[in-house]
Amino acid sequence: MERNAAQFGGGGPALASAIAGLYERGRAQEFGLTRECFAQILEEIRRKYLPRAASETEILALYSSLHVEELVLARACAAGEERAWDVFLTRYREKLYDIANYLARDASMSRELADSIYADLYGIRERNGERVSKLASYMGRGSLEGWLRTVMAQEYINGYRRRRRLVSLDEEEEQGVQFEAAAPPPAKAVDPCLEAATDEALAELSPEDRFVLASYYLDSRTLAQIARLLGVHESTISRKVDKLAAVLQKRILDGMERRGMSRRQAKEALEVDVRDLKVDVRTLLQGAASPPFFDKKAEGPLTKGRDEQRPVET
Amino acid sequence: MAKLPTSIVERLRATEKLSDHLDPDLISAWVENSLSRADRARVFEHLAYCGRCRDVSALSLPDPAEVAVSPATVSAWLGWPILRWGAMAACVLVVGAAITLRHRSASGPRQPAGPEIVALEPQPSAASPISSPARTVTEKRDETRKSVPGKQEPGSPRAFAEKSAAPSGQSLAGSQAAEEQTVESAHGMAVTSFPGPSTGLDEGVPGRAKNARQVSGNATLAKAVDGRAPQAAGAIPSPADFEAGTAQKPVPRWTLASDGTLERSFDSGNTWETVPAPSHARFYVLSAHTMDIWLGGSAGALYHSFDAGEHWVQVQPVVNGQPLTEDVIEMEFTDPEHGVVTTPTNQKWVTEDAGQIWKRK
Repeated sequence: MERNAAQFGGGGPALASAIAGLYERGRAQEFGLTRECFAQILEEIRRKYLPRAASETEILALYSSLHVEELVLARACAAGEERAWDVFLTRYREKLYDIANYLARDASMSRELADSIYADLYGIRERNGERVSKLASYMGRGSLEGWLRTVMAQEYINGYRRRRRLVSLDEEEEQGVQFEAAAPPPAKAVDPCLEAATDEALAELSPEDRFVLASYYLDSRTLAQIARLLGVHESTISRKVDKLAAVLQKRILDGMERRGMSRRQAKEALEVDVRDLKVDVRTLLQGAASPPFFDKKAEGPLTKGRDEQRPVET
Repeated sequence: MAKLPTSIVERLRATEKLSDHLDPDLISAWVENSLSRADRARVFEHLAYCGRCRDVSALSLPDPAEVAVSPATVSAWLGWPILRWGAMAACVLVVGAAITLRHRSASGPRQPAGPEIVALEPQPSAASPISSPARTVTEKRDETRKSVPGKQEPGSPRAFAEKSAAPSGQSLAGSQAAEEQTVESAHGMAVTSFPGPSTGLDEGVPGRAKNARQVSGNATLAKAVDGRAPQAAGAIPSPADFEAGTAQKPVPRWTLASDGTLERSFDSGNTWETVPAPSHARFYVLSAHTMDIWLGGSAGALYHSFDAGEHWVQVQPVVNGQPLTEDVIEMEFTDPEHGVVTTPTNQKWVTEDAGQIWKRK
């Protein structure tokens, strides 16, 4: 072990010994990864996630948290080791397609997604004469399966956005999109005092609280999805959202009071927002007790004669 | 569900930030809860403001139908962080055992193993007017407490008070009948009830309280009454009672059900078991860090366990003689030592030493 540790130069003996241990644990030699290459991979990970002045303890903590075996496998695949690819395909080929099915929910799209990712992982593109494999960017912070899932999720989102932009002209004409009037900008109904108090209250939220609110109100995630992400029970998220909403509104009201508004004014400013008013104009118009057009009397130019269908000048 | 006014949602959307997105390694590690606390906090800071990365992280969750404990996950349980926390828990147990063994001769027979409430009785400091020796639960139950006017050192916060875990709203009756009723109504948990309207020593003892991890030789671990063996009250847990084996168990996940029931899972949320609550208080919030868990609820109910719920210590924050009596609706412990507890009136009670000393903001 001491001889092995000496081969991993740099850092103290504890670090070298830890790297040697990781090399053994990752079975790097089986996949044709030399000790120097392995040490370079760890160094690359250290530079990416730790500051230059990180202590040996922090480096050791980072290295010990890595999924070393999967890291070795991925990097060996990226280097083109056939044996590594055999193991990778045995373990992950089916999973790739299962993940794609779960994301895309459509047979053809999932196949397309899985094949696209597989090509990126294998490395069909070349840069400076060298094959570029996406697996070379795996850093071992999470499991390789989780990383594959995230990479596919990213690719799925990117593809979804691309498809939204690429709409055929025929489709646009059919849907009347070309002739659709531009959506008017939303009416600015927010009091500057309310806006400032709201920003202040939002800034005071912890990142986790803000994450929960944004996931629920902006991303329209379900409570169950948020709970799974945070590893808690759905009821915990439900209570958290209720509490955050209450606390946020209270802080905003307090903030507006500090800015000179009375409590009543602050409540009105917060609760009365024209965008919250759900006014069904069609129903109101239909329900109004108004006689049909041709029965109206003395209402201006339109009543002069049924043949004179000039538009009312306003 | 509560509805947020549109103006707030609009500002939430407007304050999203565009910045470099997280790499897949960090997102997947975050989803798998395998990041260090510092890294997890950094990822949260980004996810709080980046909708795209939130979308990616949500899609990175495995198909619920396929959730299973993978070999990688299993090995994570045996990883270094678990061993580290296990070693710390073992040290705490050794210290606790040493303390309890010293007082074993003064207490009754050993309590059977199981979830228990261990209430610590703070020892008076040298400057305190109280000079009574440490007493066990059995002895205290038989005595009539006198309200001892506490003489505090100026500015010294009252950190810990031994308090009955009687259900909120009930008076702390000194009668045996009331105690037995309390014991019997507990959910299998041992509950201590103290006679008298006042909590006795809690009002009279200035100085810092000690929690189970830092119990020194002169502190008493007063073991709670066991519903099955009330005569054994006062017996103190032995090392075998701590054989919950916190060092052997994986790190649990926690949740509070909608009815306030406390639940934990040792298998990533696949199965959940109900943990008997340490009191009849209604619990609203919890904050957990590996084996360390804080529980907050109605009327200032605040409990702390350092061994994943096997033993609980009731913590009574007191500042300038004023105890926390409001509901605990928010709680955030960034680590087992540093925490903030929030009430409905937005009072913030802050501790930096696992509940020994509190400050109010």
